[in-house]
Amino acid sequence: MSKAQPSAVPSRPKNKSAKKREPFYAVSPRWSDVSPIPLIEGPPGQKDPGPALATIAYSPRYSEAMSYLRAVMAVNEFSRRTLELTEDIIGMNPAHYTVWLYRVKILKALWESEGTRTEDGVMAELDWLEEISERNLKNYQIWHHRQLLVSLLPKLPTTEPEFVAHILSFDSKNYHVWTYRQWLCRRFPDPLLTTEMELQAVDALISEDVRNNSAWNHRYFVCFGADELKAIEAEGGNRKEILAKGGLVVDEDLVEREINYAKDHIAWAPQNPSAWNYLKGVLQRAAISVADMQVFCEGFVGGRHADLMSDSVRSSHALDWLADIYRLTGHFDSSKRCLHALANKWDPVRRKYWDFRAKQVDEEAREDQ
Amino acid sequence: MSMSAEGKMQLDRERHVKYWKRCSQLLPEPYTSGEASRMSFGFFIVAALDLLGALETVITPAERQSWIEWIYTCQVPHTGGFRGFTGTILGGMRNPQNWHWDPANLPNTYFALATLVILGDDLGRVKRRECLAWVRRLQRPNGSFGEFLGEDNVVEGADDLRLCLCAVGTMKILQGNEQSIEIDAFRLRQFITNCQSHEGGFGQAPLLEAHSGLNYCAIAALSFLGLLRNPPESIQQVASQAKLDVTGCVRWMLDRQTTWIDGEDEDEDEDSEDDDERGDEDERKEKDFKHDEDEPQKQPLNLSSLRDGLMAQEPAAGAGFCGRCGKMADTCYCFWNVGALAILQQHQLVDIEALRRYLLQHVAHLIGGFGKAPGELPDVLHSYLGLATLAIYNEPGLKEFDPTFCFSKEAVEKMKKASWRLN
Repeated sequence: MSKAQPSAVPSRPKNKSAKKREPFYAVSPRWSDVSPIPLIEGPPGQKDPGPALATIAYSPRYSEAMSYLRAVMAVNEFSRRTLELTEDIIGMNPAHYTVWLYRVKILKALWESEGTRTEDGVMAELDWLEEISERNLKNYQIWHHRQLLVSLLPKLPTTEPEFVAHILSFDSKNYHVWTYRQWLCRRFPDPLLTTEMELQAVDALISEDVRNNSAWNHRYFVCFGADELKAIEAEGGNRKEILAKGGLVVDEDLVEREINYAKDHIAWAPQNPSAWNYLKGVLQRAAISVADMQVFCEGFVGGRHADLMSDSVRSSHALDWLADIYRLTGHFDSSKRCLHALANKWDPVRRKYWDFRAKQVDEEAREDQ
Repeated sequence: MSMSAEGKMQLDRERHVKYWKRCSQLLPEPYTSGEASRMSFGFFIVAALDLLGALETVITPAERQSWIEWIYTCQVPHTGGFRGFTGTILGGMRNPQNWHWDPANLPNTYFALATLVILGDDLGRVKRRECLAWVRRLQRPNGSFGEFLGEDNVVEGADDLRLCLCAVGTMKILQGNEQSIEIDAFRLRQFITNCQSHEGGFGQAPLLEAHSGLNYCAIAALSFLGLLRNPPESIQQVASQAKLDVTGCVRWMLDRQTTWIDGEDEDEDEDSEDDDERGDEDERKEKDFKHDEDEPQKQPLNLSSLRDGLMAQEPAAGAGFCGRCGKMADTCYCFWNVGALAILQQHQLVDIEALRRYLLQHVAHLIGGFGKAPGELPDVLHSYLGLATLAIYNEPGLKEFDPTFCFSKEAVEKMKKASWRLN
């Protein structure tokens, strides 16, 4: 290998179109000892395999880098230059499923040979990952890699909640980030769940955008879900059965606080489905009947006897809930009035669904007689 | 935007055939970043041409045979599964010390087998027993499946519903006459059920946000679990064994249909011919509903469904589907929702005409294919799933569609030709 120290390495080409045609590895003295493995696109031993399926117009730069990656993977080389090669590949094909594992293996080998403490090595890699993450918000592997790294740490790095908040500032509903965030809470319940830390963070996000459904879902996880997961894992059971059995302690103060939280946010934006769904989730968890919400819901449609085709209706969700509540309490005509208003005025896209519900109410009414 | 300007709304079959023919020859450079799923691109191309009835007419037998050979090139010798792309093949250098860098990959294995079936291959060269054993090794103690085996056969990748679906789909394609299911179906079912969120839809894992793509995976996986039983069980039977809240799930999927379509708020006046009919009353209603306008937020208010309420008799705008509560319409979510609804035989509850309008007038592209949203360039995933959605509603020019297998019913029938089933 060349004597060049990492600092003396000329900066590697960025993935810019002007550079895409120029060879890099083939002319680099640092790589002269490596024989690249060419792409095999057909059955072995066949001279002209014919057209391949889903052929992609690779840039020459990508093809070259990949041929060197195959060569170093084949001999299990774990070195500085291979670490840089993985960065090059990840920049062009971040979904490559083994290059990330290869990178982890290289990192661990380097930490050992260079005497780097795991914590320091992880923090340096997290720094590197930050820029890549901003450029590839929708990539799964990046978050999996981050999870793997952070799982090596004994304590929550103080920078991690800031980083998650930073990434959510680009895309506040990013599914990978929320998945990672949930994992982070489970990995480090202390301090995230044992203090108000995570609850306050999620409250801030809901205040910023009351329609951020991901944030509402996370609130459910923080308040109730973490316990449910523990029960699922401990008993190895079905979540619905565990809930139905009453196997989980329901903290009444918590339930009351969360019902009020949802109600306040519904009052603020009555047409926001996220808060309604959250309320439904909390009621289910606490085994409280939706019928208890009758007065609350009637407040958004102009009262019990309002004209549901008129402007007194402020929330289609309230109508939907009332349709259910009236059915449960045997007020079938009232229930049908709600469904009729939904089908014909407030939510005609789902007209067939509302009509279907109305038919169910009819059947129930008939059985009731 | 609307290519059939005269209001005659129909699928421009020829244009789509041309699009797929082009894709079958060469995919442009930007597909490189998704190359790890190249087998899925191949599946979309072959399955789309099949759905359009063009696989035999625009692709020569030699080309089809050559594609079959390419897919077999991706079969990983010692596991029987398939790679996602040829980029990891180490050639003559391959040995037990390095072959974990070149593993078979579960989703791509389903796509490879499905593509072989559609191409009319009898699967005679598939290492069936090895492949089934490999799928079983990917199952985790919690019932879910990993994506591939790493060094020392460690199960790698996420444990999420996509992989659960690909595992049972692969097992179904490879199922012989004699076979009982040798995976832990009980735990798999339990894992799937636990992913149903309080919203009604399924998330990637327990307690994660409901998401239409993953929701489809949950429903299709349960459907495959039923098909794997001997004799087969209906999705309703499986769902009830799994203690699924089917009503809540169906409701959640129907709620995803939305007239909130990206980039169309500004030019709505131009493309809506029914504007005059809306009148002042609409405007007033819209204002009334905006009383929560003062709240601090970044997202535009989604009032579209309420605004449309007053033109309920004949909705002017199209309505696509979104993937999560509070998101905009996107072509692929039309399929993820409608496909799962079709498996549950509830797809007739959708506003079908508004959906067709969304697909044919808003996201169908001039060069063929479908974009993710209006004005977006088509790509193979959205283009296939757009066709699939239309096929579920028996669009003229398309073959009948099987929503569980995610390809034509005709191709599903071809599976019976698999060599081991003939004996």
